[in-house]
Amino acid sequence: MTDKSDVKLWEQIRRHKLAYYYILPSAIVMALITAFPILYQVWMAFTNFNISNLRNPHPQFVGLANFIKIFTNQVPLENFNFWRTFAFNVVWTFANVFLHVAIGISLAVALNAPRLALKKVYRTLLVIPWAVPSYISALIWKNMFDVDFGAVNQILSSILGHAAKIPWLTNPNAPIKILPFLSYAFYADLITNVWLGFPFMMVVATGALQSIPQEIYEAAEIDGVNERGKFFKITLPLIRSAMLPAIMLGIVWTFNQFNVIYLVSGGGPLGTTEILVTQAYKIVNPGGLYGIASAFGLIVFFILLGITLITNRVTRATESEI
Amino acid sequence: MKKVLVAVLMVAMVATLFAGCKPKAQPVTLTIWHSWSGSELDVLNEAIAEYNKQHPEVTINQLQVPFDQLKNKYQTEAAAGGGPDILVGPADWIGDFTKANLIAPLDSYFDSTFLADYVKGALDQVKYKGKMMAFPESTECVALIYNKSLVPNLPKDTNELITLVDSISKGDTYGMVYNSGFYFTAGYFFAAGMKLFDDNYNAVVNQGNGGVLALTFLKKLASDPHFIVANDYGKADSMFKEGKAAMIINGPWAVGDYTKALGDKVGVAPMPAFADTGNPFAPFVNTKDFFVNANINDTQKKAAVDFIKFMVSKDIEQKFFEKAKHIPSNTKVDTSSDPIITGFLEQMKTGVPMPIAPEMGAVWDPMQTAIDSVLAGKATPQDAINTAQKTIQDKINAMRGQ
Amino acid sequence: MKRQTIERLKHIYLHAYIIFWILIAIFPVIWIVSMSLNPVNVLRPTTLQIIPKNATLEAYKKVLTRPYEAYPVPFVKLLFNSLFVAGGTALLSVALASTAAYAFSRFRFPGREIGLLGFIVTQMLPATATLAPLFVILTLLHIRNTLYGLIVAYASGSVPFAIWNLKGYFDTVPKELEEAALVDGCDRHQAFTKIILPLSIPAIAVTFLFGFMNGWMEWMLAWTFLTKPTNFTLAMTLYNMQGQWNTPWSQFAAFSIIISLPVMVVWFLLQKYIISGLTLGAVKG
Repeated sequence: MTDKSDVKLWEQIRRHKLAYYYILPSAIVMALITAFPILYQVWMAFTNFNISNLRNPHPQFVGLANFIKIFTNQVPLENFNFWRTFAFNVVWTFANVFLHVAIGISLAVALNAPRLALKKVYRTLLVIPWAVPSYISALIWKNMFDVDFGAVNQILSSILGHAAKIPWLTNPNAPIKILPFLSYAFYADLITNVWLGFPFMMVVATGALQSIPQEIYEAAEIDGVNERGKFFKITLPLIRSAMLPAIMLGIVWTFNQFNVIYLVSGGGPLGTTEILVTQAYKIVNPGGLYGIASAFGLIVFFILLGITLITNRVTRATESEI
Repeated sequence: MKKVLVAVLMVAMVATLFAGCKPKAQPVTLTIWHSWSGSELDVLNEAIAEYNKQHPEVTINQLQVPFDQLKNKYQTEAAAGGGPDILVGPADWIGDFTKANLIAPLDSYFDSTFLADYVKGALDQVKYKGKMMAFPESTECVALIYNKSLVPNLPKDTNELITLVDSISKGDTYGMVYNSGFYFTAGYFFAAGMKLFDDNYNAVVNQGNGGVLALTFLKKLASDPHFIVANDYGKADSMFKEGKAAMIINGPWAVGDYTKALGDKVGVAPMPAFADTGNPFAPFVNTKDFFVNANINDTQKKAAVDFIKFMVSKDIEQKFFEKAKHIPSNTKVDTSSDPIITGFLEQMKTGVPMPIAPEMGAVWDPMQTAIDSVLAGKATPQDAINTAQKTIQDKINAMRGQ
Repeated sequence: MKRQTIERLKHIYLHAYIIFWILIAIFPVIWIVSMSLNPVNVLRPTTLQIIPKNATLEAYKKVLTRPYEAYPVPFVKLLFNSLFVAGGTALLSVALASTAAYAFSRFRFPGREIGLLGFIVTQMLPATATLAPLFVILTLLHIRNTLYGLIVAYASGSVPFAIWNLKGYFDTVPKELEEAALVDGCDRHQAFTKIILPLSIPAIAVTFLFGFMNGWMEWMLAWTFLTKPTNFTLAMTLYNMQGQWNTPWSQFAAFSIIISLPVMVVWFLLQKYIISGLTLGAVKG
């Protein structure tokens, strides 16, 4: 059933009535709940809405003033640097997603080995970081990174001596000189978020791996393909279409990962680990500058849309063919 | 005819018999939202039970909400026209709530004889633009909490403090864990002479050298290896509880847990005076208040105020003091039996009421950044305080829609 | 013989790798357990002592007998509410998403790419932005102050991932299967329910788990919408333990451990459905 591009649009819509019916329930729910806030935010972004307007929603229209303020770093917030925050946010996202996916897939593949003992127990234990409330896990990691008493430094100093105590969350300087905008706190946040996130990718990969029949591997072995070949030439391509949704959504979620940054490093020290959404939070609370925050939200939205569209093009994730 | 006469007489008799009685009170339901827990909650429940004995027609429902969800929950419901009759919260919510028209002014319900029994500073704090917007239940401020078994004598000023800390630190026990959060260390900024606002609520933090003196003092403490200086409440709190720090800056809310951990070794005293200027430590004094919802009708409001008057009466405030270590706003409560509360009251004498104007919300983060950047060596005290001044004033202007 | 030893060596290597990651996964949780055993409420322990001085199970006892301080709501009722909300969210999101995912996978209709991307776009909004419209909509439907309202709200958050995940999996099921069925006289609907769904059980199980997690862990919307303590969930109760300054850390840690256990049980049980790709393999070969 191929569509000819010269068939009129109306014809196509009529022909695919069934498809629309199938989508209708989800679409209605999502539209109601997300369309309204998006539209409201768009309106707010062009005004100077602040806390006195909660009961009296008639703020002044200020045109593009909010956006200009954001792009030229004139927002009244300490350590506000939109461009550095944006760049950091992108680096943060891709570093995390890469590690999540790599570790998740490697564990799923390891646990998929035939005749391996204790698989069910292992799988259950590995999901612990996802099951424990992230609030307390983030606080525990913050504990472990404490300069004086944290477990990480205590272990490091017992192996490498007293000087190995790393100021994870207190020193705003960068440990790796060629990456001068990544302070120690970035690595602390990264380790924590990778710990929190790899089980999810492992679970999705486990589901995806089930679509590959064992016979393919056995045929490959007969053909003399080694482990590496099996992984890169069989496993990865075949789970690609099932993993791509998780990866794309993982990018969106990690980009907006508020909890870890807020609880572990607080966006600090001195704003070096601030990402766009933690920045936006500080504009609203305690700032109460809802207009600027909405403009900020719109900007984040378009950035994410851009990243998603590019990723989509590159990976052809919306396609149906493998 | 006779029968009718008898009936009328009977009705008249019955009417006169009952004329002297009070009319039966209308049933009223009050809802109160709070985030009290532990012993505070016990006192609330006892108070409700007692109030019901005297006012059986009043049903009181209470809902406990996590503290950092309470303001948002109230705002959402009240802005939609609903919400509880009474809300319990700190005074710094007054500015935002009044601007958004979510709480009712209370001047008409309290007369001067009633108010005479309450701490003047507390009553002043709940006034916004000349109107009383809440009623204070208790006051609080930070002071020096110390471990009696580790601290031989109390320092009189900051120079003595440094010498004392240096002498009592040994191994991994630190003389003092100094919380560099602005709320905790503000006392020294004010003692050094810094002011936050002028009469028009514009920022003036870099006028005079108060800010610079205080920041320099903090930097000196941080370079002393016997102090732990960090903006980390959890770390400071844990260190003191485990006996790894002899002194800490904290408020009355922490005392319950400290007494559980350290027994009667816990002592409270005013912080030492600021040596550079000779002025005493001047912490923020804040109140915990009862708010009345602006959405409810007059009968509800009267009933709510009546309950509030009961909650701040001498007997109930006495219970809050004894069981929950609240510092009462009612001057008739006798607190002399408790050395810990007496210590806080001593400190409060030199305290400054925390401004409740919305402009105050613009102060916290910029001042914290000033402190953090000086401690990290990223800025000089003078530059840091100038940056803070600019950011605070910019925020205030933005709040005002300029 | 040689093939067996190679496999055994490979397995030893795999065990070592897996156990390495298990240790990393568990290490912080050991600290949480340690915190829950401490008679004193300490957030930041100053020593590496895993079993604290005077370790006690008092915290567990307290949270199980009186989880929500202000009301005597039994632990079992909170547990039931949480299971109800989490299970309902999982079922509703799978139900809503499976049909949409099928359409996106099998039909090429105008607006397809935009529709798919549109669902992702909804994930770019922070949860706080959806608070106000959810409040309004749920109040209009008279379900705001109920657990049903929560289910609808949470499902709206899980549907986008559910659609994408199911679509991705449906893509790996060969179209030839349904085309054979259609030729045999089935209609689309039967092809969907009798062929695609049974073959996609792994992905459905994963989607179910994800929806369950969302419903189990969320507290922010719950605290904004609900006011009757008999409707509260475990996640709300956990969050409620934090005071403005004071948090009873030992109880908080104990409750965190307790709240994690059902999720792990659900995952353990779901594994059976996830590892059921045997039928698909036979067809694919």
